[in-house]
Amino acid sequence: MNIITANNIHYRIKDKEILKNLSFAIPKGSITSIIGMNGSGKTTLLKLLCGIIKPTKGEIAIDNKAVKDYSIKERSQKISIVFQSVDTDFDFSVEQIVLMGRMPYQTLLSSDKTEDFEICKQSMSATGTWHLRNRLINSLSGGEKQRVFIARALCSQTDIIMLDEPVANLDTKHQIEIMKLLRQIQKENNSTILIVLHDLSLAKKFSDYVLALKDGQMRFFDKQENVLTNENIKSLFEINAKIVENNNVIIAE
Amino acid sequence: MTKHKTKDFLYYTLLAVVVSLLAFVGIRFGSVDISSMTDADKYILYSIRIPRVLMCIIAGSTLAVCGCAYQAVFKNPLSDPYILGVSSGASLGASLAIILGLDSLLLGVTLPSFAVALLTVFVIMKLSQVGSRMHTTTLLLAGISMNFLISAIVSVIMFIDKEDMHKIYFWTMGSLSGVRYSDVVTTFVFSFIGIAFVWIYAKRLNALLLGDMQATSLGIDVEKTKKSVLIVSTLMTAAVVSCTGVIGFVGLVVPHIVRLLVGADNRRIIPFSIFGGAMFMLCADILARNVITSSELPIGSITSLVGAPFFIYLLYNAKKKLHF
Ligand SMILES: Nc1ncnc2c1ncn2[C@@H]1O[C@H](COP(=O)(O)OP(=O)(O)O)[C@@H](O)[C@H]1O
Ligand SMILES: [Mg+2]
Repeated sequence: MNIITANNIHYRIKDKEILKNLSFAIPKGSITSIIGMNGSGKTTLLKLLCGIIKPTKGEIAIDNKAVKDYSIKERSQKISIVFQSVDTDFDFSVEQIVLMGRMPYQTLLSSDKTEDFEICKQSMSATGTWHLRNRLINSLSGGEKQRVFIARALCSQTDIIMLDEPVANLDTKHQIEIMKLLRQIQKENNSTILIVLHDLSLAKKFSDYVLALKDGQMRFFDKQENVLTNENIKSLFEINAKIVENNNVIIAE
Repeated sequence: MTKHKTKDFLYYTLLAVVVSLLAFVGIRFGSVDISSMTDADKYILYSIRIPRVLMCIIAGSTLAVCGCAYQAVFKNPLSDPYILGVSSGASLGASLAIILGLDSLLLGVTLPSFAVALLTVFVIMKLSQVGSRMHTTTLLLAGISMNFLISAIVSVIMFIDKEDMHKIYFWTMGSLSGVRYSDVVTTFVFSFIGIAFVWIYAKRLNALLLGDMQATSLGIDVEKTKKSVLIVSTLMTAAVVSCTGVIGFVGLVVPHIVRLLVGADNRRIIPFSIFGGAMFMLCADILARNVITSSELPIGSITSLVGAPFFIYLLYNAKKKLHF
């Protein structure tokens, strides 16, 4: 079953065509990597899919209902997002940040209930951030921060989680840790995960589907093994690459 | 957060006691000793000191909460209605109302004051919205330029209308002398509604501090939230300024100290700032009236004497963090 469908979507700002003619359907309970060079439109695509911006043309549907027909609140109960970097001048504790993930279910006047704390605790345990709960967000390392924001996304209990370059500033060990965590989340909750990645070996190892963008156009969308081939990578990134099949590592030459 | 609730209630009670004590000191001591309770003393007590102390509490709490609100909307711990020129805007509105003779009408000063304050905040918003994130420097420069512009206009007005000069001067300095019960009541109504409104939005303000997109993804209508909180707190600021003139730095100093003590959660910062603001203003007022026996210092100069060095210190810290 497909949970996200995009039908011929376009996005332009003024005269600049940023995304052109994208159509795809993402199956429920899968991990899809979005790859492409800087400026190819990956972040814009995520924003469109979660309804923060509206396509100039075309239709996006989540669970067979047009994104534009969801209220902001309904949408927030369906999709949670982890952004590239969240910096704030204000010293929230880790627990406060994760608890904010319950906001989609709360009204203006309701306070955090026992249930909210319970879900918050579960999300933090699942992401290995429970021991950090009283730390200030700005005192954490990049990897810890990213795990906290993934905990926040989990705490929203949404079917879909989107992540924009969540591992961009992490070392290899922590990159793999985060990717393993995402796979585990996907398995346990049957979540649908969309993730913008630069590292093609991570994309190969950890995703079911790959959506490749170039200059605002969708060049490929298919099962990982069909997209990440030597020829495709060459045409996408204008580099030579070699895939070492047994351990899925891609080496640029 | 739930786990704080019982403990916080205790703190609030304690703070309420401190505020009451300071209010008592404010009523009891001043340039005239009223301990013998002659008719003249009674007049001073009921018609001058009590309304004045009440206004002090209302103004302090309101300005402190407005500071919290501005800081959340602009995502910047250095913003507040005074720094951004909104208070001056309100005082300009009040001055215009005076020279146009509107001050005898009901809300004849408050409404023009609100209108100009709102215009100021609108310009600040536009100026600082260059790019997606608002930088401290842009925001502060916008505030400084608005303050320059407004004080230039006020000087021109004072020059043209020499008769009302002292009245207008009063608005630029901030003073609690001559506060009447009617002022107390009007300001209280505006402030009570305004503070309640901002407090209800506290949880959303928390989310705003993580960024607009993050807040949107948590189900918040960011534009609507920002606009309504900003309009309401500007209205409160104008209500206070049109009675007391410009009293600076309360909205900067108080939330900042509260934040150091209770953390970043606006649901706790706002109630603590209500008490903190009242305490700060009461102390400033007691100083303003008792430091020199011959006359009274403008309260605005006292708060600025404390607030300006504090601001410089914050700026220094921010600079260290950003290396600019
Ligand atoms: N608000 C905007 N105004 C103008 N151009 C934009 C805006 N947002 C994105 N773009 C342009 O759209 C293109 C795609 O951007 P983006 O989606 O951020 O790419 P990616 O995330 O793949 O690096 C870039 O060329 C960028 O300059
Ligand atoms: Mg991007």
